[in-house]
Amino acid sequence: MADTASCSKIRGPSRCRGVTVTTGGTGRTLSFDELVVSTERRLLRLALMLTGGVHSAEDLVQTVFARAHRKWDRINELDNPEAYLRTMVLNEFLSWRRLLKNRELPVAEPADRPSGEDIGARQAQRDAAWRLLAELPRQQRAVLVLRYYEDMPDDEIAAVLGCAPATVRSNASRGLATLRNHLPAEEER
Amino acid sequence: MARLTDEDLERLLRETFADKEDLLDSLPQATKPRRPIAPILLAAATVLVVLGGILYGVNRGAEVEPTPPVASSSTTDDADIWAAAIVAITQRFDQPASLQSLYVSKRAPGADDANQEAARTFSAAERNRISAQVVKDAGIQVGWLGTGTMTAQCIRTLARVSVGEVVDKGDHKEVRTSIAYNCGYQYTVTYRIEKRDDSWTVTGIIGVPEGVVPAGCPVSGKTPASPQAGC
Repeated sequence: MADTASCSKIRGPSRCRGVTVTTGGTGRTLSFDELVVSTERRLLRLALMLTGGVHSAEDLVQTVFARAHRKWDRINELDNPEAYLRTMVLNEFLSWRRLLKNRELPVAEPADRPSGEDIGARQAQRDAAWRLLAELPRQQRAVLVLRYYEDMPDDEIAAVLGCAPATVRSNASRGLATLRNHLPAEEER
Repeated sequence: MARLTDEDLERLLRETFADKEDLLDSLPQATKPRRPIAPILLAAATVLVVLGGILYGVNRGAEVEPTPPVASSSTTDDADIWAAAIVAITQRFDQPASLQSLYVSKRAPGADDANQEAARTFSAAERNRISAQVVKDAGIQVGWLGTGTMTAQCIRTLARVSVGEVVDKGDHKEVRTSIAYNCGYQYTVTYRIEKRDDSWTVTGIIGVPEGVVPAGCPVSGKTPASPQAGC
């Protein structure tokens, strides 16, 4: 078991010098390649929720893996490298200039857009929420993704984003308010 | 009509995120990345093509043909050609079925990483097409590495394939291809690739392959506890 007594807190996950990164408690050291294979799918999903586009998500995760590889000597000493990569994805998303000018643009109506008759208003409402999320400020979107997709409590979100819990609540509140103001209201039953 | 409460929004967001997870399994057909064409990138790409041609010509030695090589312009064809080269080089393994995953990068095999910073990576469309072809033809999953991220560390469970630019030689194409496997062993070859029956097929090799043929050192699905003797 890892000795966490000497762990120091950096932005995000705790960092422990001299701790062996193991897989499944087997005591075997995790290689960079194995970490990539085991975390890529989860990180892609998180990146998809943050960026709103598959291609941007792939670019984001690939950028993070490239940076992680350069810092692998340090990352493989962490007790939870996956959490560290998740923080890297978040920080990369929040600071990614390329997203501003490289956003994916729909060039045609999605073929599977549901109509109210076929699938129902609920699906249409989800699609509307997805589009509105993409227009939120990144900090607000990140908070909503971490809170409702990653199921993280506000204090953990604050630690990951490097801000106060009150700021997290404020961003969440503003994001939800924007969604509420622009989403079609539900039919009263 | 009732305004959505925070609880309604929370439920809706959770449903929305769960619903959109499926996007990763099927890339949308109706989207395209908007890539601003910066003059500096165009200039860098031009320099790379010219340098690639010069390096290739130097490596060919006495076999250099009088016409300078030029990069192919067809993205789809290029992706199929790269896929054919990748499949061909993985077939050098004695037990290709044990090779489950590849990292693929676009770089000139043989050049050091420091010179690859300016090289462009595969586009998303190219990645998708290459992945589909390699999975179909060789049953091997493909991962991607960008430029400047070549790992110098020992890779035992995965192999790394690098492909250079597709060089148009008139009646056929040529692609410099290398595979790195099992702790730094590397095999580099230039494939001659022709279009036959509407599909790109490796029809031979150009020049003399370099490195160690992967035969006898298959990349297994397991990570050995110690370096494999003799590989």
